[in-house]
Amino acid sequence: MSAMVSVVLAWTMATSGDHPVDRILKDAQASARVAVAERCDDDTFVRRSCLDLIGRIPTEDEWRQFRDQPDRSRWIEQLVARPAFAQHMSEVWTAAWMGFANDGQADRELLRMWLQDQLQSDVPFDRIGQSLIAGRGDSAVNGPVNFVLQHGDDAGVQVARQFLGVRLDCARCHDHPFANWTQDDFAKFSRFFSLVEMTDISRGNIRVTDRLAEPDEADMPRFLNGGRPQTSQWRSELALWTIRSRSFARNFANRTWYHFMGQGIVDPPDETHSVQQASCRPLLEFLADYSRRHEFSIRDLATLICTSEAYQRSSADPITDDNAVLLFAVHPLKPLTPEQLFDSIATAYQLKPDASERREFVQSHRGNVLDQDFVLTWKYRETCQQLLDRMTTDSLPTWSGDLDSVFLRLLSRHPTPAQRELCRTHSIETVAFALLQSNEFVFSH
Amino acid sequence: MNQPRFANSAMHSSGRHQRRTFIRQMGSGFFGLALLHRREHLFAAEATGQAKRCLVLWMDGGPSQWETFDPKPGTERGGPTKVVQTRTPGIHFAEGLPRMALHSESLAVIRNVRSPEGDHQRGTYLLHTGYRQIPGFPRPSLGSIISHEQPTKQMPGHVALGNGATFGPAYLGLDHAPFSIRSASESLATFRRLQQRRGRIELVRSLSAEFDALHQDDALRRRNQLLQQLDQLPETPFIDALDIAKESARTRNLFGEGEFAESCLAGFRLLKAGLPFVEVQLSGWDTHTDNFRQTRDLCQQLDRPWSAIMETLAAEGMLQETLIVWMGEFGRTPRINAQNGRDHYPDVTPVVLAGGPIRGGRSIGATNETGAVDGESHAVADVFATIFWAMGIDPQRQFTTEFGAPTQITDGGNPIG
Repeated sequence: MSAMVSVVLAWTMATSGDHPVDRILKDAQASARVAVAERCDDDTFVRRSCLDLIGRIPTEDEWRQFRDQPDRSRWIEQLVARPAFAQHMSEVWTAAWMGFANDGQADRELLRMWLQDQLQSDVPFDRIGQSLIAGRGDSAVNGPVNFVLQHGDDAGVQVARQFLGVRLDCARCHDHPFANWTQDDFAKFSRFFSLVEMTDISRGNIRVTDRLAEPDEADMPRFLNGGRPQTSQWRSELALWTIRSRSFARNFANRTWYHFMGQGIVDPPDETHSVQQASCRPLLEFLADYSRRHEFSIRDLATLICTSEAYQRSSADPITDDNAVLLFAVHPLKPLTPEQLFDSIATAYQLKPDASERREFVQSHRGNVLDQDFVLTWKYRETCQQLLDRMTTDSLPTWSGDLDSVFLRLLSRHPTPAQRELCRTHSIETVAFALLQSNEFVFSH
Repeated sequence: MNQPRFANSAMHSSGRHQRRTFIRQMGSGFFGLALLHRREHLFAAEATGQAKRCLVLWMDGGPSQWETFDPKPGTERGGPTKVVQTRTPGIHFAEGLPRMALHSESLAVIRNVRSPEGDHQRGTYLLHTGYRQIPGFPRPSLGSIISHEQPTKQMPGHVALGNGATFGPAYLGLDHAPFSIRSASESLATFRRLQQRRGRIELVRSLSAEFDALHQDDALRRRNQLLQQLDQLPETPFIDALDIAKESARTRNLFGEGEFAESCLAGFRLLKAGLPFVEVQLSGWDTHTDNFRQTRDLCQQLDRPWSAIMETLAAEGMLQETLIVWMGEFGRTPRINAQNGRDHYPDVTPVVLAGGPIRGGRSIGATNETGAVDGESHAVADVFATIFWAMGIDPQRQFTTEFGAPTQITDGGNPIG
């Protein structure tokens, strides 16, 4: 075989055939006659993968490391093994489970730290779910019980949504307008948490346990498939039923996919249960199977997704249509979260801010105003007022370095000739500030 | 843990169906006619046109009805609060509101609103959105709804002045998010800084140009629109309205001094500039201790600026177009506690309406000597339906949430007659 042929072969394998995700998507894209965007360039890939896996843009050193050895699969495996991966993913999942406010009785940060430890040791996601649903103990020392503490009467709805991709919310007041859920489903499913007892132990510490009771037949909870618990350990049975159901695996797969791809296979991911709405059902089923085979390892699933060509599509594609987005033929833009933004600014400016500065920044960017509305989403949600605040920020540290260093550290690339020309008349600090507010910086692409 | 408590808002599915059919059949023509016949008590028959703007005076913490618009001197629960004679026979206000007493002919005092929420956060949510708070189903706030129904070009349509909570647009979209202003002068300074740095926005846009040309994405389009809106905001009357120093000495004197007075004046100027919704907040009404001295101070802060708003709106010919709503998250208990304070009392949640098509010089509903509602009461949703009606917005209007579910503008409210 000539050298030329082997290069072409390797290229074909890498771009179309070998990865199971790409094999499935290729068929779907072909039958929908969707034009597929090019593979993103190396600079874009480094930036995108760092933001998605470790929650910040790459340092200049990291950028150089990859340029020296541009092996994308190895790069992903290396990122996934870092403690920063566990930390970033713990923030992502905690936001989904606990919201953003830290104002109730529940200790959000304790739960997050617990989750980070679990993810660091690659504890299977089904076991994590089990701890959250059925956990007992003191809220000041036991991370996962804070989930039940946070949601109180609403815990059933949250379990359905976060772990099964079922939105029971609508059935709270009336039967669900489209799906099959009835008010009775809602009431009976919520009942799984009706034996929970919360006892004040000391200030800031609440013990979460379960009462023993022999309720009437009419007060018994009911699973969403109609079954009943066999014992009085209602929450433990619910946890087992949840993690063994097919919906659990699909939900885990779809939410993880959503995090990396910015678009769910079922979208919004809160309704993963509605599989008939999947844009590519075979992909959803494959990822659910894969997750189960790999014992719900977030690390494995993240590696699988990020090493696919689908993940590495360019976001730059002027022929984008809705189908292309739905079938992952082009990478969507995702606004940086406040956490990603803060850590990226600190990385670019080489600062070492403390945790309280970070909390304050994140809080001010979430804004109290929108707390109520916030569901975990990659939708762009900046308001006129937030943009105003950003544009009028005054206290920016000085920049040490030349024009290329500004572009490299903020955008992981060199300036274009036109940009060099544009920046000639501005101070380096002004350029850094402008790049910080530029679309290329505030979106992951 | 308790069972979920939402059973009472349940509708049987057949009932829901009938109701939808009903709404579809009746449409808006019915709405206009039916209400015109029933509204003659609260709404002036001679009122032409509907209110175009809405000003909410938000009494953060829960205002005492006893010390404002429903005093009961000489009764066991009335405390030491004295009354002042208003221009309307039979209606008395608390002594702290002498200027507003002169405007009684423009005010409709609603004394029989009953709320189920005695918690600050939940009460504030209910009185801002008209719905009880349910996790996972956010409701748009009044300001966001009005901004949505009466859109402005280039300027924010929903502004809140003060330190209290505000609520977002939910499914109505971020164009209707509240623009929160802690103080007019602080906000003005921010805008002045922006004006000095217009070059910055220009540079940001130029440096984004190559990236933008390569991408087609709604998020990108939206951000570029926002950048443009921000760039053009200094050319709208919005920023000028915040500059209360530009107001005549006479008008400034009319509003008086203090943070609330300045916010009221800025609020008035924003309405005049064409904004459809402004909320001005006065904090400090959570008077669990020393209720009588505290409410006297609060009334003093409230009386003069509110009265100034009535006068300037009237002088500008804007009163008929501007609905004014005075409310907070709940009222306060008949019982005077050991700290000489009054506690939360959602059973009576005081509301006062003025301006627009509202016919003043009347009170609606009544409380008895023990402070409880005497006879019929109204739900918070009825207050919202009344506001929407006064604003020319169909109180039966339906929205579609981002999940595709149909939902009503109010939680089953009917305009108060």
